[in-house]
Amino acid sequence: MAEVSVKCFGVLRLDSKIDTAAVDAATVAELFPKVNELIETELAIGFDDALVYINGLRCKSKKQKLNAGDEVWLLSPASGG
Amino acid sequence: MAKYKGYAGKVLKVDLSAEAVEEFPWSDADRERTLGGKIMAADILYRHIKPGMKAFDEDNWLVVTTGPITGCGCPSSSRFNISTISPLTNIITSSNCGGSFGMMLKKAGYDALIITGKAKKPTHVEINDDIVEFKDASNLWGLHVTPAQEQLPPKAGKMVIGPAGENKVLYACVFSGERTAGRGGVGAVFGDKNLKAVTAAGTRQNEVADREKLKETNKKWVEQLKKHPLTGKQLPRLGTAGLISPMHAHHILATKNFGKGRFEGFEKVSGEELAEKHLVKNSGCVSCVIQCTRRVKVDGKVVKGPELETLGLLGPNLMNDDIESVIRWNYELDELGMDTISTAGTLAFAMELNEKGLWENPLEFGKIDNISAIFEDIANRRGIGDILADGTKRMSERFGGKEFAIHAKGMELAAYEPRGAVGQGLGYATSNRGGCHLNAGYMVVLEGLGLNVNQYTPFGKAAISIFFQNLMEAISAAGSCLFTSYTVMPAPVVNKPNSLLAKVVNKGFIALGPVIGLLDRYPGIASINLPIILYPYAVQHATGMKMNIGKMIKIGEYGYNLERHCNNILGQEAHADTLPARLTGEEQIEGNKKSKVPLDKMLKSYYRIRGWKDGVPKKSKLRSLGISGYPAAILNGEGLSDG
Repeated sequence: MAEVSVKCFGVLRLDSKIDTAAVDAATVAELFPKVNELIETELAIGFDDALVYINGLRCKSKKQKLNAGDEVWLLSPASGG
Repeated sequence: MAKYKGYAGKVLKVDLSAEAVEEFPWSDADRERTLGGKIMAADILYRHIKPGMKAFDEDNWLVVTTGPITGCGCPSSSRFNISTISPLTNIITSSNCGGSFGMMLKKAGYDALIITGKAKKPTHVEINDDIVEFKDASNLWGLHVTPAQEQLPPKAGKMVIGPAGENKVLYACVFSGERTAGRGGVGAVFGDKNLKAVTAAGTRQNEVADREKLKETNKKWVEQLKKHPLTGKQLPRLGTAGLISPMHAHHILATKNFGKGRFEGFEKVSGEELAEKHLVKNSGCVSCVIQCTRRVKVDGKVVKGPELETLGLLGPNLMNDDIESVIRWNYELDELGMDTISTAGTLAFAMELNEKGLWENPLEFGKIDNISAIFEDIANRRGIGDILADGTKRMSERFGGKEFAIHAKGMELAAYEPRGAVGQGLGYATSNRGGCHLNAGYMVVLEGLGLNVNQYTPFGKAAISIFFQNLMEAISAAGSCLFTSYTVMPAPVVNKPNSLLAKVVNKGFIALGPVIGLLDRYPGIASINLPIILYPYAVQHATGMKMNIGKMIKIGEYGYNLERHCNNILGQEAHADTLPARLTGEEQIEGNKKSKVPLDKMLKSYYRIRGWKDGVPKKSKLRSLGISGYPAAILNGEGLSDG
């Protein structure tokens, strides 16, 4: 387990109302349900569909391990303009 | 009388010098070849322009055009286009606007308006059905955009300029309501002609070829736009400003005059910040279901908020993380009538010139207290404002710093840092009007925003860029907003970017480059219609013209080549598709050799597919498109080539 800082962006942030949250999780896969526990409503598109960045680098595997103090960005998948 | 419905059927030509009007001939064959919009405008300009003609020549034409579906009840189709020789780039600019003028021009009975000559005094041209009056606008001269519009007939569609246009700032805009024909200095051409305003009103009802089928198509179209994650969710809720965060994540957020692709303070100037702390409500252009416009407060008044380009370029690109300043500046620039993209790009360049000691001036990265005053100086061409009013390219010729003068063909780049999306870099370089993200083919939407096609590989990018350049050219010519084209990206792929399907599509796009290249060369092979691409159906039901995807791409290809050919006639020589050395020669991310635009490599494929030589369409290419070609002997430089 490692305490990481989670930041949400895009529609995901507006829907979840999570700007920044501290979460304990060992891997990215473990992180998603934990963040989900923080919200009251069901999301149309869940956290596990988000684009994930760890410390500014794109994370391509949900198995990736997390270290204490990591900053995890969850970007809502829909973008365009 | 036009055979095709949807169109008003006439083109009005107004001569400001003689205060005279006449009808400009426009046939059904012309309609079939161009559809309307920017391609129609290029076709009209092609008949008139001559080598050496300049933006501020009395006989430079302003060509205002609509599309066949404008005013036909189709969603997001209130668009109109203004094309002319740009004072910023000395080539054709085409500037698109979502205000009501286009729809009202059609109600008055005209598909297009050509404005020539130069008025002797400030003038307002008032069109009411068949009556055209030349009114003294001396009382409007000097007024800001909103007060000027308040003096005009309330129910008419309007085009006006602000002080920047009057003073011929080379990137001055034309406004219609609060919507803008922003790029390329069309407002300066209005100002040079002493033209403060044009209004149009009328009583004509738009006839369409098959009302029931069009209604059905429009219903499907509205549903499609509302259901799609980009047009139904992202844009209405966050506006285009919602791109700041993903652009930062993907290294595409232009920062410090395109020195970097990420900005530490991005969250403070993001779409989320705008939505959570400043948004009063969202709104949009006439007839639009997307409603991407932000409405915010400035001094207690509810006004239009900043879009992505404005937020990015007046924020991170100036090293400014104060969103309230950007909201205010956006309002001030709108009232003065200046393009926010070119203004911001010019300021960033001036700041770097100052930082490098090449031009001592009061502008500094991160310093925001003097910017509003500088805007006033630019709009009125006072002090250093007179220098800044000429834009980045001319400043680089005067002070140096060409390698970091961020423009293409003289037009400042939009907010996407192309070293993080190299296909977008190719698009910027090849875009006919200069550093425009949309005329470029908008590859960045595939390269990280929307889809996740490899942002650094040059492979396949030329073919895909050409495909989208041609397609978007035709969509614009039809009268539709380009944002509607996002629905072409399958929703499941956009919604689930980590899925196997998304991974296959993202990889497949690149692998399919050669196939897309074939489609670029032989659009006829796509002579089909697909239920997810509704433009051909809408055009066909509105006009009665047989239409399919392949035909639209072919029309787009015609437009893209014709505009390029016009630019060559006006003096644009070979090898004009360039980017500043910072973007092609310097790594954006130290140690990442791929983080620069491999332009030469991509251009080679691009020209081969296009049938161009070094950026100039070959005679054989022009002939194949039915463009007669301009006598090579009177062209400058290499001119046309069959080599």
